[in-house]
Amino acid sequence: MKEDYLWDKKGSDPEIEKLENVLRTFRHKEQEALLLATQTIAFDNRSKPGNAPRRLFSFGFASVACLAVAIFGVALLQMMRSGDSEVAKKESVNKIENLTTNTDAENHATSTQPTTTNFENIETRVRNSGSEHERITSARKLINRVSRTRKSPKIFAKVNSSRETEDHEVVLTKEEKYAYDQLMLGLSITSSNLKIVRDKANGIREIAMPKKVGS
Amino acid sequence: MSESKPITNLFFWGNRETGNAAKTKKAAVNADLVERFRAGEQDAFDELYKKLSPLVHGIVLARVPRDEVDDIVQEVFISAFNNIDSLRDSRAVSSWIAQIARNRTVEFFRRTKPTEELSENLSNSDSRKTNAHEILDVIKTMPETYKETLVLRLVEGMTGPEIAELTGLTHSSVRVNLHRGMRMLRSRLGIKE
Repeated sequence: MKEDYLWDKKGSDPEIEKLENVLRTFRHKEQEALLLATQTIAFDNRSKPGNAPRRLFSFGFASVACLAVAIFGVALLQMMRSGDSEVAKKESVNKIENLTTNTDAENHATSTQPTTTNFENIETRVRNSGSEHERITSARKLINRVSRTRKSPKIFAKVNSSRETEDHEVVLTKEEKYAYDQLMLGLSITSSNLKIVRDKANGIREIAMPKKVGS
Repeated sequence: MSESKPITNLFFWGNRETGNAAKTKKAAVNADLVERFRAGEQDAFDELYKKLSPLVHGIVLARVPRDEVDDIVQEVFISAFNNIDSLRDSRAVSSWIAQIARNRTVEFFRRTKPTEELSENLSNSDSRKTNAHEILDVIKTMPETYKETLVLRLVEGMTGPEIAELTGLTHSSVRVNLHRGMRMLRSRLGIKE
């Protein structure tokens, strides 16, 4: 039967046998196996045979799962902490608001009165002081106090404690003292010049200066 | 009779049991070779190569130019050698290597520009060999399933059950491919049945 020969080579079919004989030239040759032998040099260095891919996969899967659980835990913890911190933040904001309103009220009560009085009495206080140095010192104290009370009450409340000790005793360095003296000298010269101008304007006759001999 | 008409009278259900038993036995032998190779026996892979190289050669020959066939066959077995650990069912080693071979041919055409093979008539006066090239070229123009089965049958000299066993196809599929392919080849070569 022709069909049998095509399927399992039982019987005969001249036509198919002829085709087989013609195409036999392309058949695979055994000696090519030698080429493969040269490619198998790394056999002994291969990793341990067995179910390496499966083990690798299971290990990778386990590590990824652990990592995912860890990330989830950290995220959960972070969320819980943020919830607590929001409550604490609200409480602290309320406390701060209470404190600031209290300090504002206190500062307003304590600082506004001395400010106005200081502004009014600066000149008299300075004039009543004894020596020039004492006058300068008292003037600086008063100026400092006034300028401090001009700041916002909140800032003043923060700075007040640190500045409190400095108010009692003012210590100048040599350079500061020199600069201050120069400033005062300049101011006095300016004031005397202004006085001359004012006298001229008021019609007071200038005292004639003696002329130099031979000029 | 048209070429695409199903050939139902060729299915021999009585022989199917014995065929499957033989198939199982050979698959077990191949699986044993794979396990021995995994255990460190290099000779087992050589034996596997001897058993499966005609299959790989036939699959590659049906698709790529003849000059490239041997190199691709070597590449297929090197790939199998390096990736044998990724084979889960060692009983399916032949169909696994067959699939590697098919993938390699696809890869070959992807990385190379299409070329036209020179006719053997120009340099070869051997009419028998020229005839062989012409027949092979005609087979290569046929559909994938037909040409692979025909090359394995006519070039590599395998029987239908052997082709079914090695490729992992059913006997009926191989039988249909063989007969339809043969009919198509006859018609293209101008041979009357």
